[in-house]
Amino acid sequence: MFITIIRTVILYFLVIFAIRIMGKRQIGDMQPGELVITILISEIAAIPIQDLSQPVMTGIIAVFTLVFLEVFISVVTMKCLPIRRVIYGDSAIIIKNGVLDQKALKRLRVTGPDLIEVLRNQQIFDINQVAYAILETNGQLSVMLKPEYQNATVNDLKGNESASSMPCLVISDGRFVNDSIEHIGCSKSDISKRVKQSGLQLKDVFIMTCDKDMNYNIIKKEKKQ
Amino acid sequence: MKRLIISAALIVLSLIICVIENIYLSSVLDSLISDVSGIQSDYEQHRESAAETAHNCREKWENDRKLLSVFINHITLDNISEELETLECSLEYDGFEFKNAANKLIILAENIRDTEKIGIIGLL
Repeated sequence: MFITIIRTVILYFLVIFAIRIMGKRQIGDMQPGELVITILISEIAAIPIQDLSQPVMTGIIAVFTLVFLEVFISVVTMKCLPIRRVIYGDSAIIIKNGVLDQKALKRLRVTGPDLIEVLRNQQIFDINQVAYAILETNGQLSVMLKPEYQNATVNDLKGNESASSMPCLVISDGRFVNDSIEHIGCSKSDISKRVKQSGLQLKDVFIMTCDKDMNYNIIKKEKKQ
Repeated sequence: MKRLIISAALIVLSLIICVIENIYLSSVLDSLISDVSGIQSDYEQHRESAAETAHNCREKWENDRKLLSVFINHITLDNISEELETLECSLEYDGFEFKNAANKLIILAENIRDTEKIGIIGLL
């Protein structure tokens, strides 16, 4: 029995260490792959605790391998959007300009009642109020209300008009995001022009969002120290 | 990037452990199989020498299994220990049980080697 206690202590610290290396995230924020890896690590760590004939080393090596793969994949997906798309998939627009995309719903195997339920969870009881709804890769639904149903902001009170279309990520880490550029209906050269107007080069842009009215926002890359 | 370096260091460490384990395991199992084969061939003519080899082989195994138990399932190692015990005891009085134990030992040792070897059997 003492062996069980000692093994549990060793594997407890191993799992904590593994989770720390992989980085802090709430379960709800995890990508499906990350969630699977986290569950897998805890399962693997449990085997040598339950089965004393199993060497602890097999658990340790398996956990280290999973941690490496997880960190490696997250670095690769951070640097390369196409690989990210293959591994984590794409977010899907299911309501666009207030119109429900039924094909997208079918493809994602989301039923009408499921959608209404998720909207209700976000305090939206009338689907007509929704301008955009996007099913994110982590399974959460992001919703943008039509301007007339949005809460008033300080900007509104000043008399400025709020954005009526959804801002999309058009540049990520110095690279164009083609789908979003296509979605907002502009070209790469339009985006490049805006970047140049801001006195920057494409490679200096960490994130650039832009909406259909060409309202854009640029966040510069931090310089390496 | 720091996380990637730490995790890469861990995977390199794991690989080193795996290589060391494979080398050590092969040498222990090779020596066990050759000892058992030697005992089998000595059994008819030089029974005393076979008994001595069996005794030495068991003692050697008991030393080796301590380190092997870090990597290999303890039940598998226990099975080999049990068969070595049977081999040593049955050598004196029971030819059938001796042959059975010797064959079983070789099979068990080869099974461990196959499981650890990078090949179809080990992978699948």
